[in-house]
Amino acid sequence: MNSSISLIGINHRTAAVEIRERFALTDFCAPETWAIPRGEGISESLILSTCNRVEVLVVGDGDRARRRALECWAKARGRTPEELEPYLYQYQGEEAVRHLFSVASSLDSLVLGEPQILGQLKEAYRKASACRAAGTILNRLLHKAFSVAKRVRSETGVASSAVSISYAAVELAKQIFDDMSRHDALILGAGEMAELAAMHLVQAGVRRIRVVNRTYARAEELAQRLGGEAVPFGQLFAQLAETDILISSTGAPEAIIHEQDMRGVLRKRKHRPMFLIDIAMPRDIDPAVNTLDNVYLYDIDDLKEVVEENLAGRREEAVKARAIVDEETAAFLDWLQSLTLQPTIVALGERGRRIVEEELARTLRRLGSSGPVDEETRKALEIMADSLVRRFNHEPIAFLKERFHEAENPEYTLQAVDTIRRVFDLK
Amino acid sequence: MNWTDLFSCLCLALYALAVVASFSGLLGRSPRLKALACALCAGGFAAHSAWLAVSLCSGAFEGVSRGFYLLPLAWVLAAAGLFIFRRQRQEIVLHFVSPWAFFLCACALGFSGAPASATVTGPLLWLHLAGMAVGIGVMAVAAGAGGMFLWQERAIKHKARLAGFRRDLPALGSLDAINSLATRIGFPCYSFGLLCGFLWSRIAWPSLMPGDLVKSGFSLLILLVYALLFHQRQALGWQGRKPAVLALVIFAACLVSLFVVNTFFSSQHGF
Repeated sequence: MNSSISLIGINHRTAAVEIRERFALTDFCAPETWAIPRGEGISESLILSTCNRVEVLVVGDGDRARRRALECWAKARGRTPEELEPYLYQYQGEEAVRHLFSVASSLDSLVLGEPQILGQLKEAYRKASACRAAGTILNRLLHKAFSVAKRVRSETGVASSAVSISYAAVELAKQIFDDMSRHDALILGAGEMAELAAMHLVQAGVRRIRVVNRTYARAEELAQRLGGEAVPFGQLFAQLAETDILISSTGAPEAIIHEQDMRGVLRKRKHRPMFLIDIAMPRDIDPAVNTLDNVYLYDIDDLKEVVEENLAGRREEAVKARAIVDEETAAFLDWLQSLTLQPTIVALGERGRRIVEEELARTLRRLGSSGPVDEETRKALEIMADSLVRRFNHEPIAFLKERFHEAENPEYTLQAVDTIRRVFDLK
Repeated sequence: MNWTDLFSCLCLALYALAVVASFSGLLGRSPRLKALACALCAGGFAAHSAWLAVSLCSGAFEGVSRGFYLLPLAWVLAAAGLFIFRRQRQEIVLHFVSPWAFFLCACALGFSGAPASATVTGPLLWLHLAGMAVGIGVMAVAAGAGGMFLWQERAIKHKARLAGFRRDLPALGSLDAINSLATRIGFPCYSFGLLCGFLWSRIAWPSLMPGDLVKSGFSLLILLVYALLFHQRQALGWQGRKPAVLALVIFAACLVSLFVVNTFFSSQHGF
């Protein structure tokens, strides 16, 4: 029986989008269309197919399983392995495990630390389980991958800061306002970026969202999509007095909101703080507005800078995250190693010897309290304890060996070894 | 070692550990250490309460000394911190309350041997002391929140990177809410305490010492700034920078009044 782990794949770094499209396996993950059938060296498999990567993870007879997986993948897409190979990365054993943990922790993603990949990996695992393609090793490996990802997210800052302009704007708003559900937002202009930022604001739970646009119909359209209300352009400054967060992205050739206007607005709103996000080019808000007390104005360049800094911060944190991945890879490989027969039999024997020593010492102590124990009695007790443990260990060891020789179904052997290790708590 | 010594040592040790845990938790961005700091601060407050109780029972507060008012002042400050922590769910309050509580308790212990210069008589004096302690104690919390607000606000305004533990600080709105709550509680208490103090001085003091006018003038000045902050917040809805600055000014003036005016001017408060 061989249960080595292999991983082959293409991603945004090795293949352009049209290549990734050509070899995508999105349609081959259902039970009736599963691309990597069991047998011919493959005992378990998993397919991860997203917009940025297509990866196949197999457990089986080392190189034979890897080559078979490559053939199946190419065949599923009506191609030859030779067409796929130039874009392919291939990992075996420890490298494959480390790569999977890095993918789950979003260390291999296009945007470092993005959260979607973990969900996609969970979905891939769910499909592999539904297709009965995942067995003892993949079950353990994937659960470990999920826990590594969780550990990386909680112990490092690799996913803690915003790395998109729109999300960075909302994160900044959260640094200014304590509870978003008590604050109102106004969207000035109906641009795509403003809509994206507004979506994030809605998700963050702003109380009310209003849209102002020169073309009222477009304002109404966007307001409907956001679940807010449209307001005529003429009421802009009256609405500003009731607005805590403004996102502006009109196509106006020059600034619409000036310092003088904002002084009036602030007076009306009793100088309550305002966060103004100007993502228009040219800018809609005069930069002098930022000199006013309780007004925080960020333009597109400021937000880009925040994003760049956050990305740099994530890259720093990725070093810590990689150390966690290395540590967990080593732990997983230890477990994998323990699944082979010999270490389990040795561990069972050691456990037995430990029990014999402890119990013998206790019994001799008890007997010793009522007089000295002679050498003959001691020897007899030792022999009895030893043979008891041997007899207790006989059945599990015989069971394991029996399963081991059922070569036609190696999955059963792995399950048996894993069960014995769990039952006897063998570390 | 008697009970007073035992509780005073315990109180100081717990507050000191809370300070260390707070700094380590904030700088290391460790939620566990921060939670531990809050627990230690609460433990310090319990020991502080016991210290205060045994001091009262042992008659240590029968005469007015510096140790006499710094100990309850520190207690009120810690109580205000714990109250606001519970009410606003902001643990940051306890991170700046612990160092102050430790400092004031250490001062109280240092001055505990100072001879009493006046006898504590009458409810008016007790009301004066309680009102002033609450007024100053909550303003210490407001000043802590205000200082943090100004620091964080400057970074946001000037688009500086919010790195390290700055990321974990509460939103500006939360810091402002702490300031607002402290002002609403502190101003009425301070005014009432000051009024009781004036009434008591008319009854109890035979004559005014030269420094009494300075002390009274200083206290009235603090009251005026306090009143300005209270009015602007309640009537005009002030938020943000200005209330934060005023809270810092009030607390700084209170410290000057307690440690400078009381020390360098010979007055009835010069104990």
